[in-house]
Amino acid sequence: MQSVKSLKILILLSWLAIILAHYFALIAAPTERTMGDIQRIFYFHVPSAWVSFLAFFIVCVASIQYLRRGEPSWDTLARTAAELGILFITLVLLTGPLWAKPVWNTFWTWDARLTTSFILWLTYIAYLMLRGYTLDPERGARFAAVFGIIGFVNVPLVYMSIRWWRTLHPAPVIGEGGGGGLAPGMIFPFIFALFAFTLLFITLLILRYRANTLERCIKEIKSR
Amino acid sequence: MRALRQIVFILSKDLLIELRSKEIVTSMLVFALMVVIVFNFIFDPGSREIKAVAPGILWVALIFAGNLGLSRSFAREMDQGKMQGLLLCPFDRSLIYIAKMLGNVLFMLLVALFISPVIFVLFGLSPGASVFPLAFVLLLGAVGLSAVGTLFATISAHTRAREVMLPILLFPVSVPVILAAAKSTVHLLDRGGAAETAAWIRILVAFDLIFVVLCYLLYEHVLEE
Amino acid sequence: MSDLHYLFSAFFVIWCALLLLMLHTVNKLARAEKELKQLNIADRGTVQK
Repeated sequence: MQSVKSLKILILLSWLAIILAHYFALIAAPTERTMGDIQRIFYFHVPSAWVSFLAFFIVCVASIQYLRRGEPSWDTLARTAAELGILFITLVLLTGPLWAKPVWNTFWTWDARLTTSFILWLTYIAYLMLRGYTLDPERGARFAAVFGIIGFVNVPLVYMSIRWWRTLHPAPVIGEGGGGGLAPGMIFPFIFALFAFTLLFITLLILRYRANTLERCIKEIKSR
Repeated sequence: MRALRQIVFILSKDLLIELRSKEIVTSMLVFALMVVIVFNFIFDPGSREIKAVAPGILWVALIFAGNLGLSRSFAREMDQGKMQGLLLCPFDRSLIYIAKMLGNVLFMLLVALFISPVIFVLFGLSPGASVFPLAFVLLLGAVGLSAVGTLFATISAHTRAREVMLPILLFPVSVPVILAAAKSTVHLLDRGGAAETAAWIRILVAFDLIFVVLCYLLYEHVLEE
Repeated sequence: MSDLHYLFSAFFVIWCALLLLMLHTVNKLARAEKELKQLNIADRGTVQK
């Protein structure tokens, strides 16, 4: 396949980017005034969250397309994105408490972002379970698509409802939209880490999508 | 309208069956009662925490009971092959959703209306003038839960571990509804909380609308045989 | 635990997770490609991708 070479380059590039991101995050970036060095987790914690969000967005879009078109490739994409999304949100849930303990002296709190992350995690675990527990695979795909759409729509609802209730997370350093509030020396490491994570995510998505597609074809051939 | 007649037809059929056996509502009631009584052991009635905690307990009891009612009503449907029968009739699939959802709302509301006075008595609270607004909040909460619950119950009825799948699907998605309903109830019972109550009720209505419309649109994909 | 221990634990977790995922995915892909080749040889008909 022609694309194998470009894929290998992509893998190399994304890992290079991640390693570089380490340098920027751990060495080049300035130390935060109040939190100290522990704050450097931020450069990997927040991009993980954004990437997982991107993944679940892809699940939603692919689910909609699958329900509209019925082509199994959309279903495979949805499943792949969900698997990756769960990994990245798990990373968020693991690195978050590791950041929280030294800074807030508690591993967990039920503020808007943490709760939403946790609900997100539960939702997509449920998504994969739904696939696993349905006997007919095509039906399972449709059920999962329906749940994938509802689950994603649920995310802003959960976030907003809890935000209206209480907030404890460090006041949005990266605001809901723009990049205000970060010390100038931190902006580039953050943007770069975001870029590196997104690149890695896309690489993993392509690789895993291909693997899942091949497995699907193999199943089809075997069932003939 | 033809659509309305179809909905009424399916709904009345379901209600009639339930009226005869009273299976679902009784089990829901008993379950909700159990939850409330257990919580009553844990908290001292009259303590300051109660006012904040009681609405939460109400909604926990309702979501557990609702979960039970949803899975039972669909299990009954599946076991006797009535689902196939229903699908053979020339009904618009989405109308089946509305009918089922309304039935579930009714069951949940019945349980809620029964359980609320029990909670008030056991925990030493009083709704005062807010009886009707409270009933309205109960209705809104039931609608939100039934909206997603009916869809998920249909899905989980077709999976291997039926009873397990429904709560796994339902709980994460029902969080906004439960939260909004519980907060509405809290502020409703708190004499000075008119503004917050209105705010949370508006939020609850918004969530209800979103979920009902979304699930209504998606239901047909879940029923295809 | 000193602050830096938390920092390194976090990065360690990320590294392990990403590496494992990459390895698992690549392995999955390789296995699937191999199996598909074998099936191609066995099943002389057209294979759709």
